[in-house]
Amino acid sequence: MTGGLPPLPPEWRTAWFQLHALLQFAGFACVTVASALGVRTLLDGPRDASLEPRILAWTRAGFLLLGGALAAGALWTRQLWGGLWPRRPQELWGLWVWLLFFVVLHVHRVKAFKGRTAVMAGLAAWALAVPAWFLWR
Amino acid sequence: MRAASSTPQTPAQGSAGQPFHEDIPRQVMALAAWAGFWMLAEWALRRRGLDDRRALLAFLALLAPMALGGVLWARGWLFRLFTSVRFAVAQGGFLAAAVLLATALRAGGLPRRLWFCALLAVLAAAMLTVTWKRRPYDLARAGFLLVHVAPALVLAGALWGRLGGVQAWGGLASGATLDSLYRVGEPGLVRLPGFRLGLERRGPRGPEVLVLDPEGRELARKCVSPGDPLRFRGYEIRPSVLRPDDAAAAGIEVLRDPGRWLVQAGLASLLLGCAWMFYLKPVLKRRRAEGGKP
Repeated sequence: MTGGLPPLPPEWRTAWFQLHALLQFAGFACVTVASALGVRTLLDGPRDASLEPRILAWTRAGFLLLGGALAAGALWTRQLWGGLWPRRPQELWGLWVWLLFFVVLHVHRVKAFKGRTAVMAGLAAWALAVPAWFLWR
Repeated sequence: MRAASSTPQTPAQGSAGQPFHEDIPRQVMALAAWAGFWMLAEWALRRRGLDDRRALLAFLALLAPMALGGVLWARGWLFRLFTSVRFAVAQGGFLAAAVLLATALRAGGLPRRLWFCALLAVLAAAMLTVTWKRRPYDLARAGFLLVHVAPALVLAGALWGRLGGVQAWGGLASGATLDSLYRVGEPGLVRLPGFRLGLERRGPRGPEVLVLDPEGRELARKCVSPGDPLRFRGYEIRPSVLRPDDAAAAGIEVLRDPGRWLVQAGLASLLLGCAWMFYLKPVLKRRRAEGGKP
């Protein structure tokens, strides 16, 4: 192999796998948009209060899509190897990223954390999730 | 956006004088103590030679009186804690840290560890308590209900699968038959109920497995591959990842998971509930505000 990832065996390329990859990619795109808006909010300061609902909306979309990716991945591994439960580090990374955004969404619901703290939590989750995206593939 | 100065208490500065259900650092310490207790319990159970299944039964036998005691003697305290959003933050953060640590340490079989099950049990109990607190539910809030019952469904399905299910493997030579397999993750053999497995030959996509009755009559046959198992009486038979196969022999894995439907229902409930809460609920609420019926 000169570079890149080895191709998957044909029988592994099921609909669940394709759905898993698609949702994962879309989920990361959504939380990346939320993080970009978060950076802008932090740079602009309190003037840009209108961005927080949009950050929350993108984070919610990302959370839902990453949850869908996790479920599709679990069904894919079950179809292949028979277990729904994460056995390999890649699967645990997926669960970990999803838990990070679970925390972020709940941080947005705590009155005392609304605003800067919630935005920072979202950025921290994104910064931790990006290495996972490259490591778990 | 609110300025940082308008947030009077953060987890780092607001511990003193805060009630427990509002105090994230103390909640995290309590979760660590809870996980630590179950790590010690698991260590003690393993020292006594208990396998996965018996350790899980002991876990449930210990957890049940704890839950009953909590309901009888600390109901109000637990209710405030379990319905606190800050406790949800603490639990999510603690679980994320635990998963990260287990991944970094390559600690396999995390879902089999009692301390992880104990943390999930608290999460499921907290979410069910929140579900109880927010009742009654109308159509707009059905998503909240679906999301918050999901962890309990997933956990119940997982426990059912582990207690009532079978995951076993065996090496099958061409022409030979097999009626007992090794359990995965625990010692001992599993005897197949009323049938045995045979290997006819290696097909183009994997080994061709036969299911035979005790007299040797053929009941089913299929060329199995990882994504396309042979299904027979609730069992799934597929090539094993534990043993590489060759032309004359194959590693075969047998799985029976009676709780998988609950787990899948839990996952579906979680995703449908999230979509409902995020996208359908605002529409239903707007329609209701405008005078229309949802």
